[in-house]
Amino acid sequence: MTAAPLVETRGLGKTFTSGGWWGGAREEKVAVEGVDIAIPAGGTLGCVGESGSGKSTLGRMLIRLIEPTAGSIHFDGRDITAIGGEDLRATRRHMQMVFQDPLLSLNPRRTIGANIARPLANFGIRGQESRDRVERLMRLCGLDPSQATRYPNEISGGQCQRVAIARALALEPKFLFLDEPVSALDVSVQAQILNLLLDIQAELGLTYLFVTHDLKLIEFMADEVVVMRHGRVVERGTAEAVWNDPQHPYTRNLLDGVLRLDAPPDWDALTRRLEGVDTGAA
Amino acid sequence: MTAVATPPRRRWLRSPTLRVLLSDRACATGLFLLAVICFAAIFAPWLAPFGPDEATPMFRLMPPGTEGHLLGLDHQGRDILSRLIWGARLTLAAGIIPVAVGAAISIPIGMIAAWYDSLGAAILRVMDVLFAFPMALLAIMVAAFLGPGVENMMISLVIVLLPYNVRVVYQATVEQKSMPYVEALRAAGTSTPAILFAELLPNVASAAIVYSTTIVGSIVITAAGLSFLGLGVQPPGAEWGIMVAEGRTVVFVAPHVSAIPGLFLTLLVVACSLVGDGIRDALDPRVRASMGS
Ligand SMILES: Nc1ncnc2c1ncn2[C@@H]1O[C@H](COP(=O)(O)OP(=O)(O)O)[C@@H](O)[C@H]1O
Ligand SMILES: [Mg+2]
Repeated sequence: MTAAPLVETRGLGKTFTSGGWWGGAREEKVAVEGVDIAIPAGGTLGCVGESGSGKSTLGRMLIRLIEPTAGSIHFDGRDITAIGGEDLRATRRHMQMVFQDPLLSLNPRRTIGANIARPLANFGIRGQESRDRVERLMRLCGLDPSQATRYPNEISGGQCQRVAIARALALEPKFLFLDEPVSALDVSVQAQILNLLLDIQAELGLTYLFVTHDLKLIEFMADEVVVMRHGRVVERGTAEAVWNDPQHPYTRNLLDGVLRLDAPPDWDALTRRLEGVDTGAA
Repeated sequence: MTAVATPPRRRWLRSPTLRVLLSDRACATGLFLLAVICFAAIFAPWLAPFGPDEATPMFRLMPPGTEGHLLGLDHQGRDILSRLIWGARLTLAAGIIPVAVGAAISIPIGMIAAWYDSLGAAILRVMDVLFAFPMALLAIMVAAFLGPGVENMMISLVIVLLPYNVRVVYQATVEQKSMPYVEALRAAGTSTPAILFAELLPNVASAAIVYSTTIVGSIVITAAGLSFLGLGVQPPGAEWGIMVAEGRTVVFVAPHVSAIPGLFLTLLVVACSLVGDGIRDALDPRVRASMGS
């Protein structure tokens, strides 16, 4: 990869502190430590690791939802580690997130259309223009715009995730942090959502950080991979290299887990897709 | 084109909530009682055979069933049925207004307490101090401090309610605050006031409203208690609590003067709590699910 990195970190770290003089003993929890990553514009960095290894914390720091306690973050060639206020708000337009649980990531009391329109309203886009944009976003994400008046609990998990993706795209971001975007979905729906993400990336030239605890998805989605454990990057390389020839015993364990625990269906679908056969994504 | 992103339509008629409410017999009974009392309060001028202060001293303390006076007369010769009907107004108002005002005030306080951690800790400590007093005692103290009168009684009831209401709103907001959708709102550059008062409000207000309906009964009885003690509605005002109090002096000669308003007070409180419990259950997704939708 020769493209300049869109997102880059140097020695990024986060230590959570809880307690203190009022709430009992002070406790420190190192969630992320000394992480250096660079995601080229238009590329996808995969990030794997078991639960609690610090993947979500890392991604949230990148889009400035969590304040880092060490290191720096660079976005589009600019140090954004310490920006705040209106500057942060303006920068954050370009960095959005898709969550693991699609239902919980939508406001249950608002219609799908209203959920997607919220980011637009935040930046002064209202009325007819907002409605037009919502409609376009819904089509882009494979949703029927007539569903805009429905509520999140009235549609399926896969559709909720499409809504969440549409909302993330509303502000025309350059970078998406995808935090296990398919692990709460049925196996049959996973491939559809991953395909949607790939199609959107190809169309809009987006840059992804794709987080998963499921190594088999990485080769499908990512160009390069970092493997995280206890908040540190323990292995990195191209997706093929890590997949075919894992160096760290921890990575080998993760891989073994995949092969042992997960029987085909989606694996087949993904392999077919890799071989260029359309899986018939809705 | 135009179908996109129109505001949600009110869907009361096919609302599962309403269906659950009406199919719950206890709640339906409570609703019926409340409806009757509200009806009486609203249409008092047409329903009441006499004015609330209209006295025929000749017939003082006559028992229920006296010609023209279905529920008898009190110690001043006023028609008890008429006073009950007129008194429904103040009795209901004394219960409902403080609850509504309390809920309205506690929503911003509770939400802000939940959103800003350190400010929240301070607010909750203040509420804990109020919590330390039994409800009735605190109401008496505040009302006595402010002086007798209907407005002061209502203010004291709002203050008494505040810690309970704030806690409910606080809890509901804390629950919502940790939801991914709130994080998504922040990521999308939503300002804090917009998150709290445009996005979270409906989710939190429902908790406050449910709680309020369950507490109306105890506020009605506390209000009546304050009037009974001379701290609320003043004679010759018609209100059920003060009617009980006024009958006290003649309780051995003419027990009906106290007993009848007391009975109606009990009915009202029971009705409130039946409806409150019903609403709470109806909004509980587990109960709803068992009803099918
Ligand atoms: N807000 C927080 N406060 C304290 N500890 C946290 C917080 N968020 C995450 N952690 C801790 O940081 C570690 C990494 O969490 P996370 O980034 O969510 O891991 P992953 O996404 O890989 O499962 C975990 O041990 C978790 O308990
Ligand atoms: Mg996570």
